[in-house]
Amino acid sequence: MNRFALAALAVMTCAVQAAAAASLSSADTNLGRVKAAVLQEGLTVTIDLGDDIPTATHIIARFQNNQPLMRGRDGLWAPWAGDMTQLDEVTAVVADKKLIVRVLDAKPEALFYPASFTVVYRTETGVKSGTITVDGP
Amino acid sequence: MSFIRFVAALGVAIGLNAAAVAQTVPNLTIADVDKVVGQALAEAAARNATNGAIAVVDRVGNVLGVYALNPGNIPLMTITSGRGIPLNNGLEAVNILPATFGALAKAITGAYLSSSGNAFTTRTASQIVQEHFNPGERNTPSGPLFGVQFSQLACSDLTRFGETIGGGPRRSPLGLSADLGGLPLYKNGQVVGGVGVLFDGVYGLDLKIDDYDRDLDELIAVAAQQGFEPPTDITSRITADGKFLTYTDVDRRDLKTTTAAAVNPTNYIAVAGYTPAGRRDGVAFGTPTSGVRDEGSVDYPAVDAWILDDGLGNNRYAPRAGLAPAAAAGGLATAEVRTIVTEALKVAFKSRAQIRRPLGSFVQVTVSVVDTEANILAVARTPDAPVFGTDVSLQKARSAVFMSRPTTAAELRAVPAVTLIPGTLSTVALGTYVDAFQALVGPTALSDGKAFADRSVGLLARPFYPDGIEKYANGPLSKPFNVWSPFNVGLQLDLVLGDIVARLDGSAPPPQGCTSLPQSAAAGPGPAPTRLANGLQIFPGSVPVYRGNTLIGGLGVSGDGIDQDDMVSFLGLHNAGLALNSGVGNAPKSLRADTLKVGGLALRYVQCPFSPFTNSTEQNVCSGK
Repeated sequence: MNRFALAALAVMTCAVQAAAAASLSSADTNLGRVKAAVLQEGLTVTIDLGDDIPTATHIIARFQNNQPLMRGRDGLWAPWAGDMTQLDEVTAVVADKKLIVRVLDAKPEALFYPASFTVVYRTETGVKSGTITVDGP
Repeated sequence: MSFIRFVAALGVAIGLNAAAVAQTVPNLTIADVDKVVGQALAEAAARNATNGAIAVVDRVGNVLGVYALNPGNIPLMTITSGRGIPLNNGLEAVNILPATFGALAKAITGAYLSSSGNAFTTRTASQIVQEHFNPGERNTPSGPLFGVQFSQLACSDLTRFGETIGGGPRRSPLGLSADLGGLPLYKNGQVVGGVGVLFDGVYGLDLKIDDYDRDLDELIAVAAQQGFEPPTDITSRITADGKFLTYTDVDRRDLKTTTAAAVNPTNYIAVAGYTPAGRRDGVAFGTPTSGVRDEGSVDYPAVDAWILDDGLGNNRYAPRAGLAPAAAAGGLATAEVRTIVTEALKVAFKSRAQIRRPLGSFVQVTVSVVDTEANILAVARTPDAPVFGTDVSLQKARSAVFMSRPTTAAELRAVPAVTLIPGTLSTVALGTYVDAFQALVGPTALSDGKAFADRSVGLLARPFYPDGIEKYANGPLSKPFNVWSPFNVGLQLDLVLGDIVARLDGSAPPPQGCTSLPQSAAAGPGPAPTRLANGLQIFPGSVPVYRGNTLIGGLGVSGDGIDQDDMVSFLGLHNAGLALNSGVGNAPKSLRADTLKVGGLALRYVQCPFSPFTNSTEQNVCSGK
């Protein structure tokens, strides 16, 4: 049921709001906090890849119950049990050594604040991640 | 450059459980809020109290209004136990916080501690959180809810945040309060909220129980409550350990006013992180909007379970399998979590309540299950369980697990001393508690996998060990008594003091919750919960969960008397083990903390009440299990 409920975080638009580029790390980079009020057109995270070449990109979300959800191939949020091999791959754009990940296409429901979104990419040598937190209102 | 799809997901309407929305219970309205505040204003004026704050909340902690007599000059309050303990001792002597925080904490306390079966106030809280029960009775054990003040914290990963009005439970800026002047509000015998007032400039407690105070804040709060009083039977006739729990020292006969003064709507101010300006209706408890509703026999058909709703009709904490360890690696399976909750609630429903009227009522509690890395696997409750037990049951479950893990000594040692405000607020390196613990309990303590129930933990977190005996020194997790108070308890506060201070600006809770302890690795990268993501709790009511000799989780219970909470957790888990026959159950007896001789005494693990069931005369129900 959560899978469908969380689809209320619906993708409504393709407008992009880019956050400042930052590098991810194996220790999970803190990508900062943003206010939901500025997310009317969604949230896009731009990652500085340096020399990394991503082989897969994933997004993990945690809302107020802190239970991890993964972004599924169908774009819905689904419960995730913590097994990295079970993460669905999401789409992203790579350009000029930057990874552009569309995290949200619409402002999330207020009741989910604060929400955290962890962007994960794999390379041939390991996994790197970073987390951005959305505060309300 | 590559371009790949981005799949659009559309919102899906959520079907709500019909039984859940059929609940019809009263709620506080704007008119009610104005009446409560107006009555407080009248009494304050009659007593020449010229500046202060009044807060009104609903049962799940939504802030319905915070009224400042002088919005341009909100007074500060001094936090003090009245024992002369100086700054740099927890929250003692801090005098930089506004009275609005105190009023809010008091209102939430009145609402959260109460139910249809018991009406408790901040005076009751004061009676049950001090070094002796009753306070001032020398060499008696500590209060039964010792440590409950540091729950409902603003950093909690359980409490809800982000909406003006919505589901609860909501957070409190200072946790629960023992300062007089916080009362519950009732309609038709059902608790609908709470009121808290702070006019006297002091956020403290009552050190002396054997007198009758005429406390300014309590007088104003009692005036505010007129028309919203609880039934008399559930106020001052409830006992614990043979002692009556105090409701208030004053009643209507002590008041100077009986009618409300006019309120100025512009005096309802914003408190960052808690409420915008203005006042509003509260939610009706038991509806999905309130965040607490009937479970609808989806996961727990054998019991009348209630659960936390996410506002969209979903159970926030529907039973799920453990992440650490994973079910495939011997961790809890979803069906096992479901059975543990069911069996615990079954014990509650057949047991005699300690703190509820009428006599013979069954126990009303909240039950939480976690895995070994603090991931929440389930939360469920009985219908009228007091709201405070939601956060506290989870604290207890996590505390039992944390103290039973073999990594705890090392993880505490990794937390350094912190100066939060020079000369005012600081914490010690948490390794000092480990040193003291190992000096008393043994050199391998907190690293050898001994199983600690929260009763065992709590007894080592009292300002005297053995509990209450004044000729002895403090327990290893406590401050020495010369600087100890409910505002400076020791490890419990040092774990979260930085979080409390950091959130005083009203900022959102950190997604990983409270403390700087390690986060769950099994939950993947990102802000997974810390080991104690809503804080440590140090009064009884939880046990670690084992499969054979292996720690796989924790079960926490809160809402009734502490012996009842102990029994629901211990016996509930025992019965679940019998039902499951999968190796899940309580810790092997050889691993339990009651095998330890600490200071020459066997430590307690759990303690179950005499003749606990309403339908039998069975005795010693936990013995031998």
